[in-house]
Amino acid sequence: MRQGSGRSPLALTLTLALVRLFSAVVPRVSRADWRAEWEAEVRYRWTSLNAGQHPDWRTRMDLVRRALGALPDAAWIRRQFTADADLVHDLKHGIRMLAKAPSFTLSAVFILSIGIGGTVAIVALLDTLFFRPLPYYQSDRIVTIWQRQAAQPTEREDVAPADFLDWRDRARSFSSIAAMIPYSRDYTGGSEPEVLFGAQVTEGFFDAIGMPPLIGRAFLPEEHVTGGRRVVVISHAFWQSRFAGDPGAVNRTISMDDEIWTIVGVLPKAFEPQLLLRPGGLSVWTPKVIQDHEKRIRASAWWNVVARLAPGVTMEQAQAEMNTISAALAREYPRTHESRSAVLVPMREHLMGGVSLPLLLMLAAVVLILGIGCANVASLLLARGMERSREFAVRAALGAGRFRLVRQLVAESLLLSLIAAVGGVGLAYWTLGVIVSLAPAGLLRLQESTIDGRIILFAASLTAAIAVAFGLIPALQFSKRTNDLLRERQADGIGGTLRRGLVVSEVAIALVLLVGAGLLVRSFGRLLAVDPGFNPTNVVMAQVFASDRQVTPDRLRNFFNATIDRMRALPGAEAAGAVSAMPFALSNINIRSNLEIVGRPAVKPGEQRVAYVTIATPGYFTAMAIPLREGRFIEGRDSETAPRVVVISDALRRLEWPNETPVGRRIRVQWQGKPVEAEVIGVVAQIRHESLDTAARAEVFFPFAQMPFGSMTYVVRGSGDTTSLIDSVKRQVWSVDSMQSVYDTGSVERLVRASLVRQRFSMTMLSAFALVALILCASGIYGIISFTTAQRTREIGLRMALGADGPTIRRMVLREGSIVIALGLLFGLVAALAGSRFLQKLLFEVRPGDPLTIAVVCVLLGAVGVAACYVPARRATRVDPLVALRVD
Amino acid sequence: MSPRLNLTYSTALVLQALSRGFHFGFDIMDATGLPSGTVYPILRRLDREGLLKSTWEKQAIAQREQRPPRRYYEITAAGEAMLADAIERYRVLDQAVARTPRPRGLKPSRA
Repeated sequence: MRQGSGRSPLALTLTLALVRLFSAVVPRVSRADWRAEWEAEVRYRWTSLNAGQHPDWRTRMDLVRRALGALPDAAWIRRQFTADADLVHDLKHGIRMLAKAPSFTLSAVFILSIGIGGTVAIVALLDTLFFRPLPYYQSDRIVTIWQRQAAQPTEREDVAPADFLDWRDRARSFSSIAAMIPYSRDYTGGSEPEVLFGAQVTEGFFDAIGMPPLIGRAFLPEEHVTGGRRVVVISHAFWQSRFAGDPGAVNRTISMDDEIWTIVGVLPKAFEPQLLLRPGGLSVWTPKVIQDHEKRIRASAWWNVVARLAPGVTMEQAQAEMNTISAALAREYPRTHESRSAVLVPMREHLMGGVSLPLLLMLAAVVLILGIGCANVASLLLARGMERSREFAVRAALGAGRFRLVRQLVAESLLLSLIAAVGGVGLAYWTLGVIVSLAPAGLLRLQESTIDGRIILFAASLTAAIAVAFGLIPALQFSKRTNDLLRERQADGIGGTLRRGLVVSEVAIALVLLVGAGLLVRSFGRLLAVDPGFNPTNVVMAQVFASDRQVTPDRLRNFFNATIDRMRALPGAEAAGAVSAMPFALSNINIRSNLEIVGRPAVKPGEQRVAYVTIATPGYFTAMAIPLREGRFIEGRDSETAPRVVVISDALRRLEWPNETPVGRRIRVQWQGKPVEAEVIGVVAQIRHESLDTAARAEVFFPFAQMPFGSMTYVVRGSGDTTSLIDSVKRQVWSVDSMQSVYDTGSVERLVRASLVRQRFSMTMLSAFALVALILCASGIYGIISFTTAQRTREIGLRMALGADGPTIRRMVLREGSIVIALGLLFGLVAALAGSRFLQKLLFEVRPGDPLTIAVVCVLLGAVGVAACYVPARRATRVDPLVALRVD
Repeated sequence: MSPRLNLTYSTALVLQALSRGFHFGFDIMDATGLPSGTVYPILRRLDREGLLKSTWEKQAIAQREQRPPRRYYEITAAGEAMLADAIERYRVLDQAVARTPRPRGLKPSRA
């Protein structure tokens, strides 16, 4: 390419340099083209100048001046590019538009905040449960192992000692497998004798969990054998409260069960709330020494087993191996193991307990609320879009493309959602706090829920998705029809179907939530109406474990007789007794045994009746006000020397003697490894043990005098204030033995109430969500009907001018509203019927499709919906025909 | 008048020049007497709004003259319509723009 004339290259060089310099301003995508254009023009001009002769300096300066004009050109392109590429312009415009309509902006932001806030809070909870790593080393390799009976395939049971030992010997799938045995110890180092809850653990327990002590060490193999040193690992909380976090606590000693124990380690804080769902956690961990007789215990099961999968072994392989071992054990011990299997449960699943279902339900609820909120805001945007139809029409006519208009609307909804997201995250913090405080204490990990960066990121993506969805619906609706808008000036028909669709979906969603909440409320009502089989009002309890101090049956008898006598003599005490398995108590001794009925042919192994064996003193039944169905209670005359007698539960009678009286019949059970035969003297009402929604169990009650037992719960019925009674009961124990520790004291009524905490939680949460949904739905209907009616001012005016009176107009508006609401109810009904079966597991004595609940909810929602239509309907009747017809 | 564009006098001048067969940026400047900093943004805007379309000069011509190909602007039907409107409005337009492209090499107008 020719470089121009050699006579005056300076002007050309300068010009080209300017063009090149200014090209930096041009956006990269068009820079090359831009430079090519300018350089071509400059060179062309230069060539022309040289063809005519002697370009004077003015001509050359003119060329340079033209090159300077390249700067405004480049700047113009850059400005256009920025306006095109960035949302800056749209956002600025959006802010102006939102500020111009503060009531619209506020309501939209408010509604969206509720939706976003709720969703974010629940997602934060779920994140904690499902995704946050557990504090243990390779926590996804940790499994818990449970026993399962073929008859109850959904129940998990603790493990029998001999079974654990067999598993440990035979299983190859685990790098370590260990048992944890709940074990409390009397601690006499404090002001009152107290009980330290803890556990005995077998060798390798801390390896299986994968969390070594914070300071000190775990147990050594030689500490797990008889005669080994008495060593203890203490919890972080215990370390803090008793030793003020002093690192020198290791190697110090504490006195438990009248023995001296050396502290060898302190557990990290994270260890605590994770295992054994006991409020307050466990304080002391001691090495388990396997006793000879434990190697034969297969019927009673109370050990908890935890294991770590060996490298390369999958969960399925481990389960398969355990199935093989269970099958072998079933062949070896057909009497006890016929229908018993072992089930592996990942640690995370175990810790989540039963909370994932209610939480998933809550997630569904908040997503539905978010849906209603979105529908509300979409209708608000539609209404506003309608008011702005002229603006859009003009902009379209001025050359704004469809994309341009859609982008503007999306930018506005993005702004709205952003503001709402800030409010929503704030709301989420608050909601999270409320939910965590309402949550049952057992749901330990929930307390760790926080809103962290990932949750904020989730909130941001959710917001963006909402914004795009919102902007798009009305935007597409309008941009499609801009020509019509311009022509018709008033756009009656536009968005009508969409608006009706929004009402229908809001009503449908609200119905689903209300049905869910209604079912839970009804189920809770049914649960409260359940007769626990005793009267917990004014009853206090206190648990003792006396075997360590009262080592012979006689001493046990004397101790309990003396303490119960004193309790009965207390002022305000009406009755007192003791029992080995206290209903609703946190820690309990549940002993099960095969039960034979003397005189009946022997049953095949695996088909024997299993019953709970409970020990009770004569006063127990009266203190608990347990109704007698037949025969008599245990009485004082059923002494050590008297014939052996037994009282059975009504549940057992129904199973074994459905049409006759069991009184006078004889039964046989296993008690501490030996068969015990006794005559049935009475039948008592069905007693609920764990909770109101578990079935009453087949249970037999033996007299304490004939079968003395060390772990008993005192129950004392008072006549009035029970708080002082609790203290008096403890003092009576100490008046007989000042060193006897007492644990789990309190009101039985509170215990029963506490058992409902999960149900109460699910019900409260879902009801709260349903209420929010109802309010949002009502306001949504109100807004849409108001707007639609306002849009029809001219039509209504015309009708009135033609003779329609107020009531006619009102009926018309109400009728149209009702049709849409009814349609929503119909769709909602279908969805509710389909969706409510997910509630099945949470319902008690209420079917998912309960017609009464659904009917009540439909009537309620319909009434609220029609009421929401009523205000706009009334307003419509006040239209002045003359004014209306003059519109536009 | 249709509300399609804020049609300034300068824009009308550029359209007129295009309509009369001035196809290149510098030539349009010559024809209208407008400075480059005005002409080019107008060309960009007309392009964007579909009132003109732009291509590149044929490679062969440019090669023959030993220079890079120039950008070639051509008025569209919409542009002609807009121009007709503008002529209604700006009566002087006819005289303000040169009638035919000048032969190459003539003295440029005041930039």
